[in-house]
Amino acid sequence: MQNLIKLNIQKIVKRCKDTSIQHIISVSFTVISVVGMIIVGGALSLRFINSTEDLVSENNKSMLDQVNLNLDSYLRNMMKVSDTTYYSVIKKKDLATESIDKDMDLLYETNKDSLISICVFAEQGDVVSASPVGQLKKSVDPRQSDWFTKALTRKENLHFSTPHVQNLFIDPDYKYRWVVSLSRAVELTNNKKITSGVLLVDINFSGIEQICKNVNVGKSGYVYLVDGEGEIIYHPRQQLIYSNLIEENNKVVANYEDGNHTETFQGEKRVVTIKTVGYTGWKIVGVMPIADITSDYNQISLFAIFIMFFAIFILVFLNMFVSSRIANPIKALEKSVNKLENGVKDVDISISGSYEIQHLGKAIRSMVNQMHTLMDNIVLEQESKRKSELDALQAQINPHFLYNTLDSIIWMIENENYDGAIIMVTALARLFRISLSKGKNIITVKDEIEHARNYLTIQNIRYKNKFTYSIEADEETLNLASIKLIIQPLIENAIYHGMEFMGGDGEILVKAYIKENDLYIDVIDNGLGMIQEVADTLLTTESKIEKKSSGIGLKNVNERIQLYFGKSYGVKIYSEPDEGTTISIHLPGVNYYDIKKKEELG
Amino acid sequence: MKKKRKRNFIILFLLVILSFLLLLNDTLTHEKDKKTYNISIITAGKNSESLMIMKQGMDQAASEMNANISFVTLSEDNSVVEQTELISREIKNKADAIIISPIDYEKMAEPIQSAIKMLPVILIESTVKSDQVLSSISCDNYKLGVSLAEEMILNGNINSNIVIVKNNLECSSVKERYDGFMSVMENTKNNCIFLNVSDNKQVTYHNEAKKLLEYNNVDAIATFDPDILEGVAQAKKDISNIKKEKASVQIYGTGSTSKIISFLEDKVIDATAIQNEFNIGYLAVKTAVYKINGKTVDNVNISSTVINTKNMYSEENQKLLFPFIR
Repeated sequence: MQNLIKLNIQKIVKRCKDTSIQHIISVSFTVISVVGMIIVGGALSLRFINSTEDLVSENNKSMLDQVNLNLDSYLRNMMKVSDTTYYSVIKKKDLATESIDKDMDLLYETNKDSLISICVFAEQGDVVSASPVGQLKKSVDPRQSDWFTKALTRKENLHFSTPHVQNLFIDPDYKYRWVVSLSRAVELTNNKKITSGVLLVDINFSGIEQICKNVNVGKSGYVYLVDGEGEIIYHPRQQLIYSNLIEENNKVVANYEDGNHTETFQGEKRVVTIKTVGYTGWKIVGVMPIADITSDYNQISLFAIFIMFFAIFILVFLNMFVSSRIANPIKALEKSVNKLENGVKDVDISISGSYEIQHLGKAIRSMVNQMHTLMDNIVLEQESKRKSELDALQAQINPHFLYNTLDSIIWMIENENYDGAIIMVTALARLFRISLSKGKNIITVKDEIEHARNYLTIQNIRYKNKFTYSIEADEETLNLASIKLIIQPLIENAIYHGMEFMGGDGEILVKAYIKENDLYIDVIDNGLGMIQEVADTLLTTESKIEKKSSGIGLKNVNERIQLYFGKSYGVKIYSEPDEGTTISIHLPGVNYYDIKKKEELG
Repeated sequence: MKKKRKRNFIILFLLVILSFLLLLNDTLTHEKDKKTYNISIITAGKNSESLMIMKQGMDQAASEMNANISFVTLSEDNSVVEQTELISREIKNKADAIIISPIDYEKMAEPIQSAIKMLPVILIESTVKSDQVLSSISCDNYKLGVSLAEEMILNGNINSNIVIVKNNLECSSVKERYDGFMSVMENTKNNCIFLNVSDNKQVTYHNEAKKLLEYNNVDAIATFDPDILEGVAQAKKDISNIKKEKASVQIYGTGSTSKIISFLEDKVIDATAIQNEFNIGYLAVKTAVYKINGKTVDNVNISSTVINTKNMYSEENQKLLFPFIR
């Protein structure tokens, strides 16, 4: 497994190494931007979620505080009614002599909206005074009511009851109202005797309902009210709870502290905010399903993901664009350099892209141009050099040979051998005439052979007939073209290497003939000869030019022929020790006059 | 190569646009999610007080489930023709669902059957004769009758003359209550006298009851209709002012109008069997909305209780008898 992973990583690394610059740029940019986007997006959404949760719970708290404030002032108002009734009405009057009905009515009238009734009961349950005036129902005994007993058992407090139906008085409309009873123990002065009684203020339930009803907690949240034991006082779906159609977590909530709590009730996670109402011990409970918050999250996160995708898409495209802008000129440059490498001539080096790459392109282009001119120059130089070399070689023939020949002529004249001297001088003159040939390189075979004959004549005299020679030229070869001074060096070779040590019976045969339309001129001697291996090296190695020789070696002859007529022509040496050597010149069989015509036309 | 890349790019771009549209669509439809439902309620009679509690339940459900409720009452009680007409009228008015309290077990069967084919129909209180399973919301009326009879026996009526007011027995709920009541009575030595009341006027109830009370030796009266109960109770109250001995006549019935409650409080009526009408109303609308959306609802049993003077202010019964007035 580990090996597999390693292998894969290696593969990837290798691939990375092999990829193009565009790939590297676009992929790495994209990866970086995507990672960055995800990190930023994730961090933002986390932050958002946290802050909304905080915000929501803060919001709920302040909302409940507001409800609490309203409820508190409402209840305080009711307590004030109770206080006023007690301290400024009941306490001040002796019930035996004075009536408190009027004052009670006044108080009732002023608080009519929020009150159902104000009544004072004696300890035995008789009505002392009531506003609005009502007849107690026969079936009802106030002493059995919760509010009555509570007020008497804990005299110092005011008591708020849970909501119940007010059933004390006969109502002609058969109306039954839900009330919250505020009861307290009072001292009644009756004929200067103090007895205890109960003051009951029935608060209209709808007043409390109004306060809690229109509080919005989130989308589907709500506010309800429980007393200290968890009995529901107000709930927006109170009747449903009473009918057992739905349930509320009120009993558990009663034990919660003030503040935010998270609970799961009936499979629904929700945030519950508690606020205890002063004095009554009631608790305001704000309920908000978590789903209210999270449904927003889903929307927002969906949106965020989309935006992220969109941004990534745009980024990928942008990266591709940018990387191609950077990479394409480099690629083009690389392509042209590649062509250059493959030896394509006249490559147009592309110059595009950013400044640096343009500069690079320009530099390469000028470099290539320079290279081309340099190469051309080299070719030209080489050619001219070769030409001058050739010319120099040709020129080299003369001085040494001339000196020797002239030396021979002088020697002949001193010995008064005038005939010989005349022949020699004549031959020399002819030799030079052909040698010059008006500066032309190509001459007829006839002239070339003539030149060889003159040379042989001179040498024969000089070497005192140490050898005999003969020249056989086919008639048809005479008008063919030959290069100037190719036979003479071969003869020179033959004389120096073959004849010098022969002692009179040396023979040199010059033979010109046509074979397979090509011209062959053979120089055959019967000198010392050599092994074929040595003969083969003569054409390739630079042989030492001896002082006596005319300076033109076999190699030069060969090169010159090849230079003029191509590599398929040239000189071949066949030799055998003690048998002699044959040097064969191979030339194309071209008519001299055809060449001349061409040159003139050209 | 370049062409391919261009094509890929265009495809990708189109995908992005498409997803954006989908998202937008999703958000828009999300807002539209809150569809309103038009639900028509066809009652069994004129707008009587007992319907008010049920209506509160309906209103509660309607506000929770975003439904529009139109309350259609008959111009006269127990008119099969009118109720049938109202069904077709409400269908024409493009109601999404109909909640109906059928007045006749047999005669209403056919029009309701045909209505069910077009839209969800929820029956409340009573049912109709049908092979199909109809969604109906009501309490166990038979048990309610049994409970009422048992309450009567508990109050010492073992060998008494009992007048049973028979009325509107075509309506399944009344019939079941009657059957339940009678199933208990048959096992006692009570002498049952049946009184048939056919006219639908309150005055008739009153007069008939008066006659009944004045001239017969009656120990107890049982009735299964709130209106008749009110009439009988009123008659008893009137007569007992003149003839004190008539105050001992016990009255049993069903229903929970405030008049009945006040009679109950004054001990004119001895006991009344009530059903949780708020729940009936609430569940009827809830079921209707569920049915419109193709969801199934479990049949919920509605609780019923017999209430007498002593237990009427108990915590539980108080909540049942006096719904919050909104």
